Amino acid sequence: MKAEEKRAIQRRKRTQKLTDFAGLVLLVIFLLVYISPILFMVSGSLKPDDRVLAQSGSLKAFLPSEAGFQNYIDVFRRVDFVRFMFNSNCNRKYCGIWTDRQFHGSLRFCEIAMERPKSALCPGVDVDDSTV
Amino acid sequence: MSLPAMAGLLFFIFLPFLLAIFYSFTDLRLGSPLHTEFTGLAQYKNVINDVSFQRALLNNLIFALVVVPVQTIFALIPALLLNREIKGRAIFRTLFFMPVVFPMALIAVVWELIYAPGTTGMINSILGWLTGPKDWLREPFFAFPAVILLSIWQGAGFQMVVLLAGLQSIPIVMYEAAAIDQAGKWHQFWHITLPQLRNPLIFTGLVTTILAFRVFAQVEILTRGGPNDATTTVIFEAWQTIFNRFQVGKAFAMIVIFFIIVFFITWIQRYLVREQREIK
Repeated sequence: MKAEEKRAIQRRKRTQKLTDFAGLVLLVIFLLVYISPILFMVSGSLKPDDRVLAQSGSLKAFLPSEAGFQNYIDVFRRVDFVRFMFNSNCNRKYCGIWTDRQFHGSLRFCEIAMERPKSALCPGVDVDDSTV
Repeated sequence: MSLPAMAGLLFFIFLPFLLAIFYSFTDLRLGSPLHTEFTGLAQYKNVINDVSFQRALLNNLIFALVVVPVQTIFALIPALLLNREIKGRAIFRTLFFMPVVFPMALIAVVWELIYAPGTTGMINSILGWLTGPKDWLREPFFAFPAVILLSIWQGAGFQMVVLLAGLQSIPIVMYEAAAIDQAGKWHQFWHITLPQLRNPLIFTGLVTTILAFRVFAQVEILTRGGPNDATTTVIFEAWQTIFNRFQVGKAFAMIVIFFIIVFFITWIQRYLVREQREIK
């Protein structure tokens, strides 16, 4: 192989590497902008309400400064979250999206969390364990 | 075998639609003590002359005209960038698809904070130096583009996955042959990638058009159709007519007219695509 051809191949490889790197940088920038609302939501879920509003206009909006899990604890304390989750599962069962095994697994979780019998949780649905 | 599916279609699709057509010829009202009377085409005349409905229909058309092409471009860019051997491609793909997974109601609440007026809003803090602080959701000129931007962002992930699948099914030998013929990347894109992506693009175009005409949740949560009907859509208007004005007959007339318009637009799209296929 001639020296010139070798140089041309090397140049092509270098250009390819540069193009790949530029593509990756572009992808990462695009992705960061694209998922910024989700990052905002996730970091906001770790902050008190007043902090979320106060910091939403700055870069701090994406950083979980003074992070805590109080909001997650409050979800279970303030509202009947398990009931809401169960209702969603019940709908899935009625719509035929879930299989019997998935449905009964989820039902058992709700039964334990809500300390209520399965038959009371979902009236009208066959909750016999033999189908599991 | 197909009886359960047929029964489901009959009871949950055809029957409600036939009832909607029937009641659109009456003056049915929610909670009214008066008897329902047959009014012929009066509801249709009312709807066609209704300024709010005309505005809603125009908004729907603008929404579809903007969202379909822009969302396709926004989906095509990451699909092209991801269609290479890069580390963590699955993670990138998952992150791009993430907005599709969240319910629109939840996403709209997050974007309401992003569009917040004054200096607390994220968009204001980014664009403040250029536009000054704006109330994006309460100024008639900006409210509808704000809804459109959210919708494009939420839906692009779905299109991206479909287009990426299409890109991955293009035989690599086509690119190799083009490279031997000294074709540049741009030429390869125009003469190989785009023609080979034709079917996925048609599919995403049709689906996005239908979804664009069904826009409701983001309008209800972000703007409630305002300011001055700037963001109202036909589905939102029909919903308002039933649950705020209790005029069920009129709302059904809106839905029937809207169905006919969407049906014809989708049919024209399909017809144009078929014609091109036959020519080729």
